[in-house]
Amino acid sequence: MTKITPSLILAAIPLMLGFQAAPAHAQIARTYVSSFGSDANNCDRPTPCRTFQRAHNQTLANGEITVLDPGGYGAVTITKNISIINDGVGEAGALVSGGGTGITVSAPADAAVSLRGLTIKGIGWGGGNGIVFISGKSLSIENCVVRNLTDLGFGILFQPSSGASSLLVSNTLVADNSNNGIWVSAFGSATVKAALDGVEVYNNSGHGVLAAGQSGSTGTIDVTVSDSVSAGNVAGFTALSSNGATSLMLADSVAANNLIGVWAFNSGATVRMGESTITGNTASWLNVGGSGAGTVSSYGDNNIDGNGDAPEPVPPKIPTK
Amino acid sequence: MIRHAPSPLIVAVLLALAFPSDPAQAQLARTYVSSVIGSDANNCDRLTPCRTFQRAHDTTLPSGEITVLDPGGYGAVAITKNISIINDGVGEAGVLVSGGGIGILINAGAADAVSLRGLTIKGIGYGGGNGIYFNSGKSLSVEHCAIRNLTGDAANGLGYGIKFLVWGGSSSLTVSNTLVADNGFIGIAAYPLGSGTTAQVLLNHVALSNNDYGLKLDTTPGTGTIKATVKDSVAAGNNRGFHVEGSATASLMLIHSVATNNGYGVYATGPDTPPVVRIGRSTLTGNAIGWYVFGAVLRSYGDNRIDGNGDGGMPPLTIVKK
Repeated sequence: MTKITPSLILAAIPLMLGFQAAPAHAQIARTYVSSFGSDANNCDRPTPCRTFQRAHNQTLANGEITVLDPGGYGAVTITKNISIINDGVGEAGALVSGGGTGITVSAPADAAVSLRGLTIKGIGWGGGNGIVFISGKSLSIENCVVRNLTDLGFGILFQPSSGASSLLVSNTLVADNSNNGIWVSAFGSATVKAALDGVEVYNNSGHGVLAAGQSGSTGTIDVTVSDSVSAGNVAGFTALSSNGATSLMLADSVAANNLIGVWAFNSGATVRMGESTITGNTASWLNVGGSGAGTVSSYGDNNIDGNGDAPEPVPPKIPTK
Repeated sequence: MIRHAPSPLIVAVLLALAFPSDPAQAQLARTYVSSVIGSDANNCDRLTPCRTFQRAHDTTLPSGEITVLDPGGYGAVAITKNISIINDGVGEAGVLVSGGGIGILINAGAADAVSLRGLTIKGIGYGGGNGIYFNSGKSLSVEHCAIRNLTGDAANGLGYGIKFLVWGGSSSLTVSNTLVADNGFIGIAAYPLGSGTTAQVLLNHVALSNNDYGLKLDTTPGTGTIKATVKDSVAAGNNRGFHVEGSATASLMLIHSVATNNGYGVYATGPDTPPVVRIGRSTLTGNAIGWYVFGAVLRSYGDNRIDGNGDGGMPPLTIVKK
């Protein structure tokens, strides 16, 4: 009998089609979860799995998890390049309690991770965090809702400890958490770039959006926020520098009804604002900090009125180009 | 068939009865509703979902969620806890309102956050009613909803799309990506009552169409405060698009928004000290009266498009951008 070695192309075809190779539970490029699924399955289309974690473990690196129907799919720790995708089949939820984390990303330095259409909610009982990024190349969060996390209480916490990582959050709501809504952070010398677009951050008991490295971190953190709203938080948008420089560009966005609208804390922190609105806050904007004043500057086209510190101070202007 | 929405009183009585009569079934963190396989005799878990929002609500632990499984009408619900009701694209999750009832009534605790997503609430006449009636709670978040055709006697408090009352302390209403249309009285109304109360209102990507009032912010029932911001929103075809009434503690920031084809685009009136409306990067056009103030302050950032209205478009006084 002749032994045939399949070519790479032939081997790839069954993967693309979602067929599984010979062993009972080999990993496949696309896995499926269903609330009627079972984690005893191999997660293919006819026999989907029940939880994100089982599907993740069954998915090849660079693969996808496809949500088939509405349900709760549990917490997951991600350790590879993967996408978890709910494209409108109904709620794909993860409830968080007991100090846990809804979605933890602990991926290799070259891994891109994508989350779409997920709803993460804290249900008390010790609370926890919504989405925590520890390592990886990038994390993309689209069309998600992260709310009601208590105790630890972070909605989205992005805090790599080495290399360069990036965060994208779009069309996402982060609300009612007992700590910061979105915290873009870093340990050590890690550098972070983040873009938030079409994001709503409401009624968190910490900062709505916080750009701030952990104590002693030296890497730069750059955050751009566009077409977003931060309302009802302790502070709307904050850049805080410990050692590394931290910058926050606020474009076409709103800070409303926070205690502090916009805050640049410490001398390495810079906030730039254009076509943005600061209103209904107790203090419109501040640049005070323990290690010296941060920098808040304006393109001269912001609406800064109706705050508790009226007549509000006019931030120093920088030219549009 | 007409579904009569129960009155709050009746709902409260039913709620009080629900628990003692049903001791066997424990509450769940996540419950499910289905129009296909649901039954209110079930425990509302995934395999045996319930049929109505109210039964699912009563079976859900505080801070839990109700997940909609398939399209259907799920009936009126009175919410008394921190909860989310979520339809993320399975088809219409509807509530029909009649008989002077309320589609979704919120009587939650002072620390409770309530979230509604992907719901369609429609009045079907027969006495009309109100769409969403917030009576108590820390916050209400309305996303991706449609609330329309609520009718009834405005003198008896009917015909509201969303009615947001603050009886004590401070409560927050956030509405995004939502349509509020064809209601007999007010699309979205906020009333802080008594003294020392604050209504925080934020609308983002909201369309207010063909109501009597699109948005009404009114402090006159008490001496409270309204802090409202409207962004990327449209009021079209209302008798009054954006209406602010009361005293200097009422304020509206209208940003990157549109008032068109209303009787009045923006209307501000203060019987006491003047409320304040600020408008930036917005468009007022096609209204009989673009903007009107009586005992109120309206200021423009000088970057609005105010043309094509019946009143010729007198420019408002300006304030400087910073």
